[in-house]
Amino acid sequence: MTILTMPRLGETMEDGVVSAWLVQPGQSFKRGDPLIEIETDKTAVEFPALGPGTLTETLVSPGDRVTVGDPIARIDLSGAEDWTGGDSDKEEVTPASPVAVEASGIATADPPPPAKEPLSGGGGPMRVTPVARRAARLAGIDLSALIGTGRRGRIELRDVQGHASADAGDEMRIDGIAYAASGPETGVPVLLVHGYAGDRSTWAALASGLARAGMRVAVVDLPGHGQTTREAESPDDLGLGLSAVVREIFAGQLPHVVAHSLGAVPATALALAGKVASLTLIAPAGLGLHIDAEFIRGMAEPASVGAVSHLLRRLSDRPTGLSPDAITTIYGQLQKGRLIGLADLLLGRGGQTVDIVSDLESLSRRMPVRVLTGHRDRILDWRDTLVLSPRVAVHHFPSAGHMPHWDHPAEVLDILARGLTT
Amino acid sequence: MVQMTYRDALRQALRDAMAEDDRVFVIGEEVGRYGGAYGVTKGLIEEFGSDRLMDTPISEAAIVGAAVGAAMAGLKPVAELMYVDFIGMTMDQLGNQAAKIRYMFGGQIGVPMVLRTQGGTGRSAGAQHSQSLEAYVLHTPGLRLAMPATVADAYHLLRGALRQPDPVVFIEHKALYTLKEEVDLSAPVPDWGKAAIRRKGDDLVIVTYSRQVHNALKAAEELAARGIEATVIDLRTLNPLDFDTIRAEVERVGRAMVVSEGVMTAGVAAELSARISEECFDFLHDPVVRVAGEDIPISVSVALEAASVPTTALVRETAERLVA
Repeated sequence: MTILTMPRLGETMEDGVVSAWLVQPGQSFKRGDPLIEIETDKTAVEFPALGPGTLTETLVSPGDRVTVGDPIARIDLSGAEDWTGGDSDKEEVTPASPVAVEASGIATADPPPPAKEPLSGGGGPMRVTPVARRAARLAGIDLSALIGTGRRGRIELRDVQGHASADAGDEMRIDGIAYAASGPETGVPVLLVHGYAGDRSTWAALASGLARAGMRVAVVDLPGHGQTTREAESPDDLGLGLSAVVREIFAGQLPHVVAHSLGAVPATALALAGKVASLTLIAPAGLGLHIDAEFIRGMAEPASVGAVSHLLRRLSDRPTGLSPDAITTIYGQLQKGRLIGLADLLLGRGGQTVDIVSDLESLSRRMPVRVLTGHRDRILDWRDTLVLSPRVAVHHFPSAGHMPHWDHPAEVLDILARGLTT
Repeated sequence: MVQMTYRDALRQALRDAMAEDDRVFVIGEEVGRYGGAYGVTKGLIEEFGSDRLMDTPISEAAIVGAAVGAAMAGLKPVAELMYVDFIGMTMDQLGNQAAKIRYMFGGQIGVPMVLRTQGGTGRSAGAQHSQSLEAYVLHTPGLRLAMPATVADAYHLLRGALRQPDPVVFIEHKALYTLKEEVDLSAPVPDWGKAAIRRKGDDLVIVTYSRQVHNALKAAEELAARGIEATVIDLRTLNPLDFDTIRAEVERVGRAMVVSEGVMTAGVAAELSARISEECFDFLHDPVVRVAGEDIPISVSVALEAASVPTTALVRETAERLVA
C-alpha cells in the first residue's frame, strides 16, 4: 500500500483544493489516467497517474484544502513499479513531483503556469542575488524591507536601487513636501501617493518596476508623513503642496496618479482640479463606512514596538517581511504623534468620515479611473468597491490584503504598465 | 598584413624559432619526412635536416620521455603527440617527471620543452581521436597550458611557449588548421599569460578559449541583434590563467558564462565557474553558467559529434535565458 500525497504543481503552490476525484475507490487506472482534479490559486489541473495502480481509499473529499505533501489517497500498486517514488513496503508518504508530471508528458489540459508570483519575504529564506546583497549592505538597507520583483520573487539589484532612490532625495522638497523621482525624464509621467501612516518607501518595488518600464516616476511623502515637514491636521490637508510638486517634477505634463488607501483622498482632489491624466486607486479609502479603527488609532499613538508589529501584520496577506529594526524605526517615527489629529478627524464616530464616491463618479466621465482591491483586506472592506460607477474599472485580487502592490507586485505592475501607456 | 592559415602560422613559428636557436628541435611520429599528421611541419626537414626533425617509432612514452631528458640536458625540444587523446600514454613522463623536476631538484634544473598536440571535435574522428583533454593538463601543477584560437595566436603563443623555462603543453584545435586570417605578425600582441578581450559588451561575459572563441563571437553577434551585448574573453593560456582580466570584466558586467569543448563534469568550465563564483560573488546577478561538452564519448556520426559539444546556437540560447 502506498500513500499518494498532494503534489506541488507550481513553485509557489503551498496548498490546493481537491475539486473532484476522477477515479473511484476500487477502480484501477493506468499510466496517464487523470486521478484527481486540483485547484490552486492559479489554475485547475487534472493530475494524472504516472503509472498503473488501483485506488484503495480517498483520504480527502472534494472541497478540502490540502497542504502540499499531505496524504490524499491510499493506492495499491499491486506489484507494479512504484511510480510515486516511495517505498511500497512501508506506508510511506510519497509526493508526486511536478518534475515527474512534466517528464511523463501527460499532464494535461491545463498545465500549471510557470511560477511568476514574486514571493520574497513570504516565509522561508529570502531569495537575493549576490550583487543585491552587496548593494544593500553598502547602502545600509535592510533587505527584509524590500520586495523582490525578479525571477521567483528574488530581490535583485534594481529592487535595492529602487528602494535607495525612493529613500533618497531628502533635499528635494517643495513647500516642505519631500519627493523623489526616477526613470527617464521623457517617460510617461506617474505620481505615486502613499496611504495613512505610510511614506514613499512603501512604493519602492513598484516605483522601480515602473521606471524600468520607461516611465517617469515620482514618489512623495504626504503632509504629516515621512520626510515632509508640513503637517496634516485633517484629511483635506493631505493634498497641500501636491500640485506644486507635480508642476515641478513633470514640467506642466499631467501625470497618471496612483494612490493607495487614504492617498486616494488627495489624489482625487488633484484630479478634480484637472491636474491628472488618469487615476488609479489601490484599496482606496472613502468608499464606505467600514474601517479598522484600531489600526488607525494604534498607528497614531503606538503603544509599543510590539503593537506596531501586530498592526502592520494586518496590512498584507503574507508576512510583511519587516525586520525588528525596521519596525522599531517605524515605531520611532509614529511616536512623534504627527497622525493623532488626522486619525481623529478620519474616524469620526461611526467609521470613515471621508467620501469620494461621487467625486469618482464624475471623474470617471472625464478620465480613466481604476480601482485595485484585495479581498483579504483587513483595514477596509473590499465590498465597498461595489458602490462604484460602472465606468470605474475594478481589478479584484482575491488573495491580496490591503497592499495588493506588496502581495502581488508583478500583477499590479502589469496592470499599471499596460494601463498607463495605452 | 598577410593571409595565413593556423597551420601555416604554427609552421612559421617553428621555422623562426629553429632559425633563431640551434637548441630547438622537433620530435614525434611522422613529423619529418611526412610533414606531420596535419601538415604543420611540412617542408621543415628540407630546411633543418633530420637531426632537428626527428621521426620516431610509435611510442608516445618514448617521444615525451626523450624530450624531457633532452630539455634537462639543455636542449629545447618540441615533442608532438598526434592526438591529445594519447596523452595518457605519456602521463608518467609528463606528470611525474616534466612537471615535478624543477620542484624536486630545488630549482636547479627545469624542463623547457613544448608538447604540441591537437584535440577537439570537427573531423568525425571518433571517440579516441576527438577529445578535449585540457583538464588533465590543467590538473597537474608544474605544467603550462596554451590553447590558441586565432592564427596570430598560433604563431605568438608557440613562440612564447618556446621561451618558457617550464614544460608547456600546447593544444591546437583540429578544426582550426585551415582557419585563414589576415595577420600582421609584427603587430603587438598580448603578453604570454594575458587573455584577450575579443569583444566588449555590458550584459554578459563569455569566458572561453580555443575553437569555442569563434562560436562565442558568432553567438555574440546574433545576441547583439537581439539587444544583448556580450564581452568575449579568449583566455589564450589556461596556465598561467589571467584571472585579473576575468575578474575585471565579470565585476563590471555581473553575469558570466564559461564555454568549453571539454566535458562538463570536473572540467575546465567547472573550475573557472567555481572560481568566478568565489571571487566575484558580490557582483553577480545570476549564477555562473557552464556551457560545455556532454559527459559522453564523442561519436563518429557527424550529427552526434556536433551535438556533443557547444554550438553557436547553444551558446546563444543559454545566454538569452541567462540575461532574460
